Amino acid sequence: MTRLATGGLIDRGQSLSFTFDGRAFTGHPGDTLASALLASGVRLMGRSFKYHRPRGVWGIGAEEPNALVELRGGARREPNTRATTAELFEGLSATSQNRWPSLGFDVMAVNQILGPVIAAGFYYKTFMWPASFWEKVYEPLIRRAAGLGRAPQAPDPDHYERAHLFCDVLVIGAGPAGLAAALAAARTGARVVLADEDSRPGGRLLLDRQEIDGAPAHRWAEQVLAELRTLPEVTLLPRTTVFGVFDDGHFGALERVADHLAAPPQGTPRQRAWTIVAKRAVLAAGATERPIAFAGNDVPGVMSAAALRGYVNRYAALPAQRAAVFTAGDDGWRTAADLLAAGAEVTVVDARSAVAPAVTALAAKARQVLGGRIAGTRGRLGLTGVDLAGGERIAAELLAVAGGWNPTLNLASHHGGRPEWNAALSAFIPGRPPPGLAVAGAAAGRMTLAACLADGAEAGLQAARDAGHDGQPLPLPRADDEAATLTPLFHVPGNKGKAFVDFQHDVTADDVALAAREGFRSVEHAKRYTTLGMATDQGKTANVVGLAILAEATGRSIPETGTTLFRPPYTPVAIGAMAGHHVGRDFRPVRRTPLHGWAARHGASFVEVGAWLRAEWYARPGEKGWRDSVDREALGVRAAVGVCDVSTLGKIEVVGPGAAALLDLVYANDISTLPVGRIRYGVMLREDGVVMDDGTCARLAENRFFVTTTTANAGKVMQHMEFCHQVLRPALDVAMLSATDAWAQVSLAGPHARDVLRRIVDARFAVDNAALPHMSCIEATVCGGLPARLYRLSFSGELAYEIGVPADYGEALIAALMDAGAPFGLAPYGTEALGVLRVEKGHAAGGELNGQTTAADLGMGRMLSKRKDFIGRVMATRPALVDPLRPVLVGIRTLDAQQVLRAGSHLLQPGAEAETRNDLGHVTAAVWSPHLGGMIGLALLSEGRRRLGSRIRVFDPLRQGDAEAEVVSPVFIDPEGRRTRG
Amino acid sequence: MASLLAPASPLAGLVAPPALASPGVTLREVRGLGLTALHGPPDLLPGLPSAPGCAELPQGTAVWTGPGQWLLLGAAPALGAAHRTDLTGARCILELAGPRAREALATLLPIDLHPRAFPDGAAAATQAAHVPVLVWRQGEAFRIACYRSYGLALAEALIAAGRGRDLALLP
Repeated sequence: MTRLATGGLIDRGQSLSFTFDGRAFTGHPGDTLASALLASGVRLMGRSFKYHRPRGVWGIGAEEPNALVELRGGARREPNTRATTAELFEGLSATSQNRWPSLGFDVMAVNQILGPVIAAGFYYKTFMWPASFWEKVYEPLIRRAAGLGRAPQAPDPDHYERAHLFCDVLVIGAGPAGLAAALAAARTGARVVLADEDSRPGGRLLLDRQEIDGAPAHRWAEQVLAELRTLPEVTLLPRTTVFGVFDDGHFGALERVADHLAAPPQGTPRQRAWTIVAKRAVLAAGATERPIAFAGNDVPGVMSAAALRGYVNRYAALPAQRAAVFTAGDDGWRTAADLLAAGAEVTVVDARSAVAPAVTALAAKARQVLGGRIAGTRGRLGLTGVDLAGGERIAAELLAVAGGWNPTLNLASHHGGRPEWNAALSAFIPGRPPPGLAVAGAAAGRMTLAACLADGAEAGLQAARDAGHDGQPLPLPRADDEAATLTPLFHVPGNKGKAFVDFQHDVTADDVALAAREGFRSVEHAKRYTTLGMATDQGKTANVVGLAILAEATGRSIPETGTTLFRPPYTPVAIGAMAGHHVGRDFRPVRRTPLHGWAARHGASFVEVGAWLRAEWYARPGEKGWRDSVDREALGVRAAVGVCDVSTLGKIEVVGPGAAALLDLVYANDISTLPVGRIRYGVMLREDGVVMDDGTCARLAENRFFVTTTTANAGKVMQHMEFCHQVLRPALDVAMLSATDAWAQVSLAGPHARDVLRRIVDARFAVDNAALPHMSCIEATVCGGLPARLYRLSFSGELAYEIGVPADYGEALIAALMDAGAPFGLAPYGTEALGVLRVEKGHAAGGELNGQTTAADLGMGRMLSKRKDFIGRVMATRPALVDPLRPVLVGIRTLDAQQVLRAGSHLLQPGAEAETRNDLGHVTAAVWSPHLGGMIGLALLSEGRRRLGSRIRVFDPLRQGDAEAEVVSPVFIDPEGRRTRG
Repeated sequence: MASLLAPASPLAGLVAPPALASPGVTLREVRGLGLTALHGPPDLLPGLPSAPGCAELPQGTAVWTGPGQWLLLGAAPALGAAHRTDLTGARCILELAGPRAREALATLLPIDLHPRAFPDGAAAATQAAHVPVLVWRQGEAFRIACYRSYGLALAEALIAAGRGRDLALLP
């Protein structure tokens, strides 16, 4: 065991069992998978992306490029999980990925020998020829060889949640600066959210042996958190990564609610995706230690020095006894000191020749090599030793690399923010962060504890003040400014072996140099050519080192070379978390009519029309397929009587002295001349003269109209009418109310419609032809006093009435109707039968109102009013819209009953070649007509009226349809309209 | 209504979560209220709000829905026909209360419901789970009105929002 006997912030009283690649281990609550493996002496944790090189842990948090594992199994298998952020739980099972047959022996490691062939840009060069091989041969090969774990095949068993959070001050990161900022802001009474990606807030206070007010620094963190918990306006979000900065103070955050458990408890989401809206935000994300590129710097056991120090201090994990420290600055000496304190044998190799005595005194017991370089490493599956530049060899199982710190400014470069180079720190710091976002602490380049505390406190108070809350400056606790000088060292050149820059994407210093030699001098080009920084870690450890090497290779300074920007998300976010509740049948909400439950109980199957669910047919026992049901329903309407739920049609009440004038503007035909109690079919044009929607308009009173729209266009028509009122005719005194949901409405159609109607309408209301003629409406009561509106209008071509009752009474109405209609054979019919009836009658609907047709195309040209102005009037007269060659509405019918017509088929002159230039139009709707005993259709056909009676070729190349049909009038049934008026 | 017919709730068929002794969130459908759209000048009735918000009038609760337009939940007011349109039943009105109601609603509503931002008398037109809604605070409770046809979908979304928050469906 390599767990230290004492120390650490783990719960030694409890043990947790877990497995890695099937081997059993134990750890403690407070461990991560990485710390528990290190504490068990495991250094090898994965294989690299391209070369399949053995890899171990480099870092200690979200920056980890190497130790990616598959967590859990089955439907919960989660690839590419960073072992450094996966909290340990009882029964955790992890598997290494991207290796075969085993982590210790990986066949694909042969790629290392192919290294020279598969360097940067290899696929652009190697797999160019033959081109046809790319998709079938090369790409599958490359994808199999290079991998990042396997996604689960089964549906995700867990649920996810989306939520919104509003605050005055959002503090991102709960290290020293973030805690100080949150406390300073919270004490003003501001609403504060403190989000931290770790399970335990504290940041480096948990990882370093530092003191605040004379006590271990993590104690101070606990005190601050205890106070924050008592403040009612503070929300603490541990295990929450703020992953993106968006417009107007919006931040995306992912809370891992149950990722630290084997499975979420009942009712608990696995993860919660927050949208946090903050008046001000403080980014206190700390800093990330960067590697140094030297040969063999990726062997398991080579780690970030600050990370190794963190494992020793927070997790009491010392993976091996002999350690070397390779540092370019003072910070590495603190790791050496902590390793010595933990009992390790330590050699410090400092690249600088002159180091302050106070710094070397930190590791007085270590062997010290000043002005040294690590030129290579020994060991394959784990480090056994390091080679110094002079040739000396040091035995070590651990190598702690301290290349300097990069402020974690990722979020500050979202939303147009740009980092800038700071020569004093040899690092990028946030230059112009997004609006409303202040950066504090190490993320802003304040690299010492005392500076972080002061900076955070000031930024927190300022943010609260900017959000409208004032308060006192936070009294600062006592802390030291530790030594933090650095002489930048990015690369130890000139040695044999791969010197890695981007561990996760296997990009080496040579790759970057090659890119520069081949002309990819722009940082953006070099990034794409080498794929540096394009792995799942977005180059958190790699980017600055790669940039420095590119700068050196192109003879420029780092600021001259530039920098790439970070994009959201900061760490990967599962799509499931973004979708939240909206999966499966909850993908979109559906609208149900007041008759929905009744229809479902009577055999209806439903079809989505916009957001609505409409009954498409009502199956009866013994019917073999939908055609049986639809034929029966359609025949029943024309032979007896049927009832159809039309509640989904858009209904708008237009009220006020200006109502008639407004409707005259929006409708192409005259509305103001409509008498009270009468209904008119109306057509609306768009501003460009094309038909927008059709429907009916009933005048209920002098200043009250009831307008219906098609189901799909209800919202659009309402918007359009509001626009016409508010923008074009603001002086008109008129109001528009959406009444769609106020009414349960059914269409009662068929020769017996009046007989059925008579039996439900209360006796004092007459419904005969004189009292209620075609295209008229009355208000009445039905079923003994229930208020109802009766509209006599027909879509089917039969004698028909629409009956509207208050929505809550829809189910009662349909039940009463079915009772009353039983002697007449009343049956419900769905949208499919409705479609058959309307095609037989030649009524335009969705396929014909396709946003390209004019009123004249649809045979409604004479409806356009000549006595008034209306929307679309002028543009409808454009030459192209009155071209006599335009396709116009016609009917088509097959020549024999066996032929099939399909909507979407093209129309051609018989004998003409099937080419675009011969295209004469297309079929807009096709149905089987049980009345005509064959397929019929509606079509838009060039010069259609001239072609009536002629033959046309109906050509469907997608579905191998090729038939001849006869061009006929679109009205197949009762062209005189006797049935409707009967 | 003199008719023998019985009204039906848009929430027929809603599957209720198990009953709880001390719920964190309670959900109930507000039934039996008249609903009238009012349209006219700002002084149509005394006390009508003139900006997004709601107000208690003798007839019931008036919610501002647009310039010169309100929804009145309660008795139909004595106004000329030109200024009112009966929409009774056109909205499904749901009420959420309880200590975790705001937290549950935060999973659906993209607006700030904190008492500082959304005090008693506040109202907003917004969206919940892709459903257009009117929401207002009535004392400690929140009322949400959606088109009747969306009622079941919204109630199901609210019950999903109550998962893990001890939501109880009240009769």
